Amino acid sequence: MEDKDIVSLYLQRNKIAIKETASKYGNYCKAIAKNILSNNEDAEECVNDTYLHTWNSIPPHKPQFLSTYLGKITRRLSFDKFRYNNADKRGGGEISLVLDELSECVSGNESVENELNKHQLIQEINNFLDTLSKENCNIFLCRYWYAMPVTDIAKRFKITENNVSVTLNRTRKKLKDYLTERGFEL
Amino acid sequence: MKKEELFNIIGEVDEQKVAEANKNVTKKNQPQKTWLKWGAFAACICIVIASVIGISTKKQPLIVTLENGDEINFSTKGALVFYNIAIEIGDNRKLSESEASSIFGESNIEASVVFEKGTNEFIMLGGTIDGFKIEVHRKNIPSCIVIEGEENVSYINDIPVTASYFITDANSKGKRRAIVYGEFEIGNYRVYLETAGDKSELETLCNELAKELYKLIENASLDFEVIKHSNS
Repeated sequence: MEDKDIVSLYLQRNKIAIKETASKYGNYCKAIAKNILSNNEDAEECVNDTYLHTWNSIPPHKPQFLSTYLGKITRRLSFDKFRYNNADKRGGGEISLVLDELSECVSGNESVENELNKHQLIQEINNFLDTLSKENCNIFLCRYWYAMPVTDIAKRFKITENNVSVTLNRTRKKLKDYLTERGFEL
Repeated sequence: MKKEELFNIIGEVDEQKVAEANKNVTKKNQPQKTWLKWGAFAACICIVIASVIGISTKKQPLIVTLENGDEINFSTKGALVFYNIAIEIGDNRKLSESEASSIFGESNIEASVVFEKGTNEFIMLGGTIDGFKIEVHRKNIPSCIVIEGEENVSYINDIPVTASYFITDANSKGKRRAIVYGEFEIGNYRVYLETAGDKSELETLCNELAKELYKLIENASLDFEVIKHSNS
């Protein structure tokens, strides 16, 4: 079923929307959740919560890219679950590696963040992504949006793992420099 | 900012970009070949310079497949000798913004242009483009190159391209650098691009250079005839 038809089902409050969503995007959401969480049960729970959140948010939202809309919800729920699970201990798994890599871009200090700053930062990161080649942008998002393992990224783009690592390393440095030049204290 | 906050912020970037990243990406397999070709060019102020660059003979073939399916072979074999032949250069100036836009489109370029003494014809451009070193020479400038080894040619949109790399010897800190370069001819001109980095970044450097070559050939007009002595 086309995305726009699935969204229409949500807007009509037809519960078949959830079934169609699960059928089309269940594996996609599960993959995102599993990249972040280390066990199947937590991942499935987050995917099921995703359907509920989606049902509750459409309307008023009317997503243009349903896949990414669902992915964002799953990502957020999964990451919240990860932080809850790992509040008292350092967790392992892919997401920990992803966070360690991102730690190179930030100071680690508590920040006074308001919605305006956050919005501006998101916009600048979007602008930064526009400066990258399409492949480098995709590699960056596969790693830091989808939390995909380096091995999987290498297979996806038919390049070596070393190439992925080097590309990510250089992109992180560019991101940090880009944001610093624009006055963001990360 | 905490790393978790940055992770959350990244989660809010443009959805279209996120969707694009998730599309299946397929590329041709990258078979491995080796070859060597180095085209050089020179212009200087009545000075003849000879230099020899020794290149690692260890075969580490690299092939980059571009988004249009063309493959660029990077390899090195043998030794390069190149030297500058004297040619009298005349005026030089900065490449103007209008020239840059006309020739290179949206690429970020800073360069100087050189004119031949007497004729005031454009003969050479040198600078950086999108972070790469770029040099453009008129083809009929005398140059002398000695290349040892086989020549091999790749094609981008049916334009012959040669690309190679070499690894320097270790410096005092034990670091070895990779120098990656590519060249093609267009009209009456020869275009050369170069980048460098740590030896461990060789594959990435070759990828990036190949893409920049593709970007130039695919998108830029590369009409160097617009460069006139009187332009500024």
